[in-house]
Amino acid sequence: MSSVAQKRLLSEYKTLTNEPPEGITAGPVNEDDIFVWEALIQGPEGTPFEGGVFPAELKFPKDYPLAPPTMKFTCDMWHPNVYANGMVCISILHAPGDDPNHYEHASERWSPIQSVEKILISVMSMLAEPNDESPANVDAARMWRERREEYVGIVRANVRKGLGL
Amino acid sequence: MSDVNIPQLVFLAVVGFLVVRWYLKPGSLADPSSSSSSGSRTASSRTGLRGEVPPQTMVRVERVAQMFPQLERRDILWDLQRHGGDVQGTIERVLSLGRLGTPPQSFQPIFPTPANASPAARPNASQPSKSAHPDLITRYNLSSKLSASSPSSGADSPAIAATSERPLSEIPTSSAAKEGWSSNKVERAQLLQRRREEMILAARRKMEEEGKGA
Repeated sequence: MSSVAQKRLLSEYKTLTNEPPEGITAGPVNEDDIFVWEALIQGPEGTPFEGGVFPAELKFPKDYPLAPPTMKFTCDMWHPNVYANGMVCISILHAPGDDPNHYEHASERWSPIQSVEKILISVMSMLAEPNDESPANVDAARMWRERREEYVGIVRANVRKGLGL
Repeated sequence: MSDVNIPQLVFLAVVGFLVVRWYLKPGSLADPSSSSSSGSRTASSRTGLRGEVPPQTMVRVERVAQMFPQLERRDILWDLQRHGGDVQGTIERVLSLGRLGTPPQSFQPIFPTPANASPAARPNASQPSKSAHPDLITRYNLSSKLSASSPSSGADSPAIAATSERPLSEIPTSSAAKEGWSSNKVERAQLLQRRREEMILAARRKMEEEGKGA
């Protein structure tokens, strides 16, 4: 079973290396353990995250791609759909049977035909457009809704801090 | 007819007794002689492994796991079960042997999933913890490359900035971007690292320039 997962992950790594999507760098932290990846995502332009680079860790289950990986930002990330510990909460990371919010369409959720690349692109668009329906970080969601300026301020500060400025 | 029935009844009674005993006193059957043919089956049914591991057993497993987080819960459970659930004994075996025995393939307990996979169970999840994460420059140890590649002063125009980036030995951005998949694991890792660094350094330079402009 694990060899299926390993083969799949290696081939995804290869695709991402040969055709890296704009603003995304991703690969295993150490190829000896191909189940742990690190990704860098650029903040989408025209959003408070613009100019930032956000590191995240992806952990794949042994039965990948049947089950989705988990994704956790390893930087300060103030966003309605990211838990304070960095864990990302979007539909593509949820298996079809596991819908805590009962609103996600099956097509948006994880399936073996999704990929790391699609996850990272989804997360990028999530940064641009938070999903207010299922806030993982309730405080950030409320701030995003009610005090947008303050929200943007925190995000901008995190962007600069992340780059060591 | 009645002659035939009596031995059958006796046989049934014996079998019934054995079955009841087997269910009620699982520990007593742990000796290898009685479970020679069905060792793994005995083991798995002892914990009710068709279902989840019962909570009181999980408490014991967790106590050992707390001390030795690197141990697999499956191995811990296996050891506990073979020794009558004695936590202390299991701990001592780990300490003295440095490991636990490997359970057979057929031993596949279903562990209850921790309930705190949901947001509500993360108590202090409201505020971002400050300074929990190092910035990317620190994290990837890029401070030296930063000073080498950053146009220290007077390089306001992007053209000059680009030329002064050359000290990175090759033409930046494009070098790693053009390279492709290597059959060598080390080269792949190096390429990935280079791309990461370029992405971070480019973002940092851009941000610095914006700061100057503002």
